[in-house]
Amino acid sequence: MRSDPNIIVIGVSTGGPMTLKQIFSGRDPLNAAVIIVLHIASGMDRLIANGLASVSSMPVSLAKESETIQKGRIYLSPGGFHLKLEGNRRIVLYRGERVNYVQPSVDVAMQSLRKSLHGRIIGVILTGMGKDGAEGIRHIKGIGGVTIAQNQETSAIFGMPKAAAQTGAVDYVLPKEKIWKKLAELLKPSTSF
Amino acid sequence: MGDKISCWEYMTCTKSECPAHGRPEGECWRVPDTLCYGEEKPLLTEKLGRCIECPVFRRNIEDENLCINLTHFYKQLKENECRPDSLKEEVAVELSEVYEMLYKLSRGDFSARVRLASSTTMVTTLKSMLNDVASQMQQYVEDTHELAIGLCEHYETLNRICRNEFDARAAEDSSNELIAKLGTLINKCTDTLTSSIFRSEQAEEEAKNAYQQLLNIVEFLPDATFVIDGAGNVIAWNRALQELTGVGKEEMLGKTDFTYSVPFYGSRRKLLIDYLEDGADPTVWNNYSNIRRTHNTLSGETSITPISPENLRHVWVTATPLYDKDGNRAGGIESVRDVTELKRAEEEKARLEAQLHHSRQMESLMLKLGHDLKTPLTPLFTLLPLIRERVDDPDTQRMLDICCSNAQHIMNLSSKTMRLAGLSSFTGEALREALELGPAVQGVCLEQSEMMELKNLRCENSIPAGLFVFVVFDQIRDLFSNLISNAVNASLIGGVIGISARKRGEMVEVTVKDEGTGLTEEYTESIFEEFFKMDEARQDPSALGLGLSICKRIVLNHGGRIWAESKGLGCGTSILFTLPQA
Amino acid sequence: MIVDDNQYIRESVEILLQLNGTRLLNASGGEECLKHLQEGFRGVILMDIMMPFMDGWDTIREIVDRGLNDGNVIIMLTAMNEPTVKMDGLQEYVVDYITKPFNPNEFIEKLKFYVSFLDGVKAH
Repeated sequence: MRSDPNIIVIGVSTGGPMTLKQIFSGRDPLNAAVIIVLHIASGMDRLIANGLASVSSMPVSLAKESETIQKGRIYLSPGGFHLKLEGNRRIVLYRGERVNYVQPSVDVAMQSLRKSLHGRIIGVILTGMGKDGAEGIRHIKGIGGVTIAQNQETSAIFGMPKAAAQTGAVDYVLPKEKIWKKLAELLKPSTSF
Repeated sequence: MGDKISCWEYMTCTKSECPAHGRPEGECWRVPDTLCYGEEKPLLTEKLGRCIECPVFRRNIEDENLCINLTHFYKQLKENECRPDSLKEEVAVELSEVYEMLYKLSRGDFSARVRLASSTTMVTTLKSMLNDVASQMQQYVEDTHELAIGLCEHYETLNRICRNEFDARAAEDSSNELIAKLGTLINKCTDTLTSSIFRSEQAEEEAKNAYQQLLNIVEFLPDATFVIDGAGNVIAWNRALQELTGVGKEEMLGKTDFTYSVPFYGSRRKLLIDYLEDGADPTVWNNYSNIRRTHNTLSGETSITPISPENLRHVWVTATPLYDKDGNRAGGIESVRDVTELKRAEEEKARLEAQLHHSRQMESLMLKLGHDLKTPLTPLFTLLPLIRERVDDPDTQRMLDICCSNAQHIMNLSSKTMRLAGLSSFTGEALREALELGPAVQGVCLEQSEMMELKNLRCENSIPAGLFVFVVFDQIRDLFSNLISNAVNASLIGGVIGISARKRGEMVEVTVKDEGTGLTEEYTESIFEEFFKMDEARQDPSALGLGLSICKRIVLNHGGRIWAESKGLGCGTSILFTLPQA
Repeated sequence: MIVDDNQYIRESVEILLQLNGTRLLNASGGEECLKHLQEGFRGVILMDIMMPFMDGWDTIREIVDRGLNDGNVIIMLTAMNEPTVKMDGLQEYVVDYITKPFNPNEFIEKLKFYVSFLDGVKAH
């Protein structure tokens, strides 16, 4: 019986590149597959992936169609496509209508997750304008996941984290410096649900 | 029988010397010595014997019975002429009997009857005929009498009916059919008349009742009301009007000539009810404002001075004409409503609205100011540190430090003032949402956890699960943020900041308790004022003193209350406030 | 490039960047910004939001529609704490958001990050 990996989906927009760097820079790899949905135009996505790769201990790549996610890796959604996870394992990319005025949309990615029997599901909303991700957070909470939002002081723009917090489905509101620590804590096998 | 015919025509007799020839009245059989049967001149009786056989005689006598009787009589007469004289005596007696009978008849005694026994059948027949005549006359008289009596009775009955004795009944049975029918008809008429009268009496009764009911309704209407009839007399003056004017209905009922205006104005003048005709007197505009006419009703506002000249009341008046069933004007009804309080309230409202508008203007000015300040602050923030780096002189550096801090201070003031200005309106329900208090407060505690760790403080959130409040999310976040931050500032090293909540009626009462410096009685209210700082010297100079006033504004915006409790200096402080439940 | 209608702000930023060895191109509004881009400017653009005629969002929309965005990093530099809904649909073009007044050190740090970011572009 294969065990599903822990999955972390991070939604982030304006202020993303710096914040992500600050979160992952100089940290140990996380025991989870990390999917980052960033509101970015295509062209920039590669740069950001490279930038993040240069400081992170985890390998960073642009998510590819039909790829199976593995733990300990960071997958960045490419610009201009929606990303979905099939069976919590397989990446599906498609071009469709904008959701919350953006493509890729964090809601689309998060809402494609299903209840996991073995692995943890964690949703994170970082700095950004708008309210993409709020419904995704609600969904993750609904399937038994844990949710984190970045706090106002450390957010370049508090829009998305605030919208997520307003759903009432956010478990933790944290400054960016504490986010990695909380993730690591949540992923420890001894941590009870 | 045929038409009467003259003998000369029938017989085609040309004997003009005959006495019957050409006789205008005909009846040749009564004429003696006619030449019908030759030159003979018979005796009358003999002639008669032949005449009765003659077709002329038979054609001329119409009544066949009479013809037969006469024939028979003449035959008898002829026979008697041949008898002896002694018989003439009997005849004379019988004739006198007949004479007697006739005499009685002529005197109107129709009950007379003559003895039938006679010497000859001829006389008997005659007598019998006389008796028949008498009976007929008697019957005729009786019938006429019966008719007369019947008519008199009916006359009497009709008379009585005319005198309103409607129980009078005419006799419906009578031997005379006409009288009987007349009696029935009279009774029918009487019945129709009585039922008609009854209905009209009933209608009158109903009308009276309805009228009384109307008066009762008018009497108990909540609005002061009076009614006048077509001649301007007061016919109703209700209780409410009595209370308003101090003048009772006993004084006003029946009065006319605009007396009804005296209780209102102290003198006689036209009231609205008097302006009801179309093409009304233009002075109505002098006396009343806001005049409106809907169909027949006129309404307007005016001021009156009932009871005493100093008692000025502002009233709203409505007057409507009343019409009778033919559509003629039959008076009017006027209602007076004291709207003095209402008017005051409206004026107050207008004043408050103007105030509110002014405040809103001020607030948006403040918001604009706060925003606009950021622009000139930017160069200060950018350049002052740069200048500081360029100078070596410590005094200059110190001066620049002061400049930097104060630029920061301006920034903070402007931020918080903007926040205060943005908070000032009572938040309508549309902006609010149901929020579970426990987790929301937990989030704020987490944000402040670093600060708390520095002082080794612990946050104890004992808000029960499932407790929801109906609030604006951002504002509540700020509220708790401020309060917890204050609690942290007030606390000494180590200790607990406790947050609890419980239901209180329709609100939720929240307590934020610290174990820090505490308050004295005199400060428990003033700490919520803008820019208040308890200890100017000791406190952090960057604290603005706006935190609690912002908290108060947020709580008030949600319709709650906020207050502070403390057992004294060094005993910690509890800030309590209420929020609406969801 | 800084796009801001306030002269003092442009000057302060210019001075700050000069001291840190970076050149700054000035634009007082959307029109001038587009002109510079058409003349070939590529780099970090600091965009004010509240400007007369064309505001920050209108300008970004124009830049994207004219295909002038490639090779640029747009950072909002504004007094508004929270953007209005005009930002909807433009999130992917705005890489960061700095509120005025800002801390100069943090400002420089961010700028350096994004400049080096774009060096990555040039490296490609």
